[in-house]
Amino acid sequence: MEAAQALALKTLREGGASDNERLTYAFRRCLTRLPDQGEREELLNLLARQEGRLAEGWVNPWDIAGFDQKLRSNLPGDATPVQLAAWTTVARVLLNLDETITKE
Amino acid sequence: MNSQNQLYERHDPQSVSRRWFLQQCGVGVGAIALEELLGEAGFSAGTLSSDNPFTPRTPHHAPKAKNVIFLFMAGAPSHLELFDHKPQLAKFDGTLPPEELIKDYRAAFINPSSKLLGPKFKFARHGQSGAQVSELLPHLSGVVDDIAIVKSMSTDAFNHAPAQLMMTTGSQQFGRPSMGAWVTYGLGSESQDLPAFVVFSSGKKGPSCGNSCWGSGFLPTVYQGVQFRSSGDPVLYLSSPSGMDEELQRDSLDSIRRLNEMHLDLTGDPEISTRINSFEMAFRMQASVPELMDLSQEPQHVRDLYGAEPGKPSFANNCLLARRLVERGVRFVQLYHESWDQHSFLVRDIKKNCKETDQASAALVQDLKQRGMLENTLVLWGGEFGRTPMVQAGTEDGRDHHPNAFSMWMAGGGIKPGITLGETDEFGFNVTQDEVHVHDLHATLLHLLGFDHKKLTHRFQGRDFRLTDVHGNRVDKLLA
Repeated sequence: MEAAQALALKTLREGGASDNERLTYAFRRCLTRLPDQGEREELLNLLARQEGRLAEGWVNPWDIAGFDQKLRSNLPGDATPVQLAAWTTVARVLLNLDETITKE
Repeated sequence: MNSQNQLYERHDPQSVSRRWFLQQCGVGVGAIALEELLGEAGFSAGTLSSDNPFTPRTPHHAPKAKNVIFLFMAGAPSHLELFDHKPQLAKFDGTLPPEELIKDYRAAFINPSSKLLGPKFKFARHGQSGAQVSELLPHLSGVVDDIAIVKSMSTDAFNHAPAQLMMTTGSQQFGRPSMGAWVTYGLGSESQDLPAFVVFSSGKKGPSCGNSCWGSGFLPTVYQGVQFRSSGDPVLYLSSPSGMDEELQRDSLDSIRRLNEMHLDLTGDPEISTRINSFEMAFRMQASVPELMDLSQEPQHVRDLYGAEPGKPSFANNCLLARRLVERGVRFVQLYHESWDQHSFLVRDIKKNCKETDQASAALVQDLKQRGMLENTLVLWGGEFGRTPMVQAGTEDGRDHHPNAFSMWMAGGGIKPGITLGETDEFGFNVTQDEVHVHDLHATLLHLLGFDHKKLTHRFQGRDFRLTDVHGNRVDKLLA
């Protein structure tokens, strides 16, 4: 979970300006390859769904994004806690993929 | 392919696709030819029809037992204080053992030529069967007609870790699959929401042989035992991170599953299906485990029978949980209770051990019987070896490790009830009649579960392995 939170923060800080670029960045960091179209759609849909739920207040963004004060102060200026939490969800999925975990 | 081929055995060949082969296998044509030459492995319950390795399977013959609960009294209880009554040993108390008895005998810690120590507790006959049981086990004495006591167990190892491995895996060395793994490999699981093989531990410490006692060795890793803790989170990291609601969790898992399936379609690697299954199992366990562990659901009289108290971890709670697990279709449950390693203060400490375990062990037999579950649940009770009739030097009442003879009891699942099998000599030192080696116990256990122990095999590193390896004889006298 902590790793997913850190990856989400890194993605928002360094991953580019659009969600598409950020996805490529996060995906490559985990799998050292580019996502194909199906994978890209799956993950961007997840991001959008969870951004929606977070914005509606179903889940508290800071509960997902982490309580660490450093995280909060390191958040790039234009990024919102909702974005950070939604990206944490995506990062958690990426880090748990079989392809990420297994070498073969 | 050759080093990992055990991962793909018993999978539908179509699931191991050509593309996977071409992508992942740098070597292997020679290995495939060899595989063909060596032929099929002995276990022929058929290839797996689905990607679920736990699909219930048909064994070699109709089984008597469907489930096993092994109460492992790790550290090795003294047979001389519990089941093997030796009034003659009292006569020899304080004298040296006969030389021919200890010739070539090596003990773990003591000089074999140490003074004999008479039994420390009284015995009496119980039940219709008249089985002799020590005063330390008043509750078990009440169910002797439902159990079989074996006084003639023997093993090869005289130190805890190797002997515990011997008892659980059939080998003194690390790396073999444990019996729970073999059984779930052979029979699959009846439970969709809980692991097929569950382990609990109570007492002062965990078992000396650690996780290897419930490992899967060279069998696919899905068959290894899952340890549940008796306090706090029963399964580590099973709860969702705090603040996460179920929908977020489910949505994330669905994404993981869909992405893993895309990768599975591309590669055909069956280990991906294993992972998909284990994520789904974990999700179902998020609901099933808290329900399982909630002993307050049990009526007061059942909790009292075991001496179980919700929220207070104990062997008694674990016994009650074992029954709940079997009820929910879990195939193999192992409960460890440490430690029975009485090198000193035998009287004080064995009393304590018995107080912690006697009531619940007997309650488990009674409770299973009342529910009609004993018929197809095999209960085993025992340690990894026995204790010496000689005193541990420098102590008043300690006994050292002793592999030549020890006692176990078993019940249900096709075991003949109300018998006592085997005899030892007047010192309780060597088996004199009906020896049951650990390998023989394993052969018998597999027989009750529907397997010929010689045919339940798994090919690894060029040859077929079995739980009993090249040993073991079924003990027909134990069969109902």
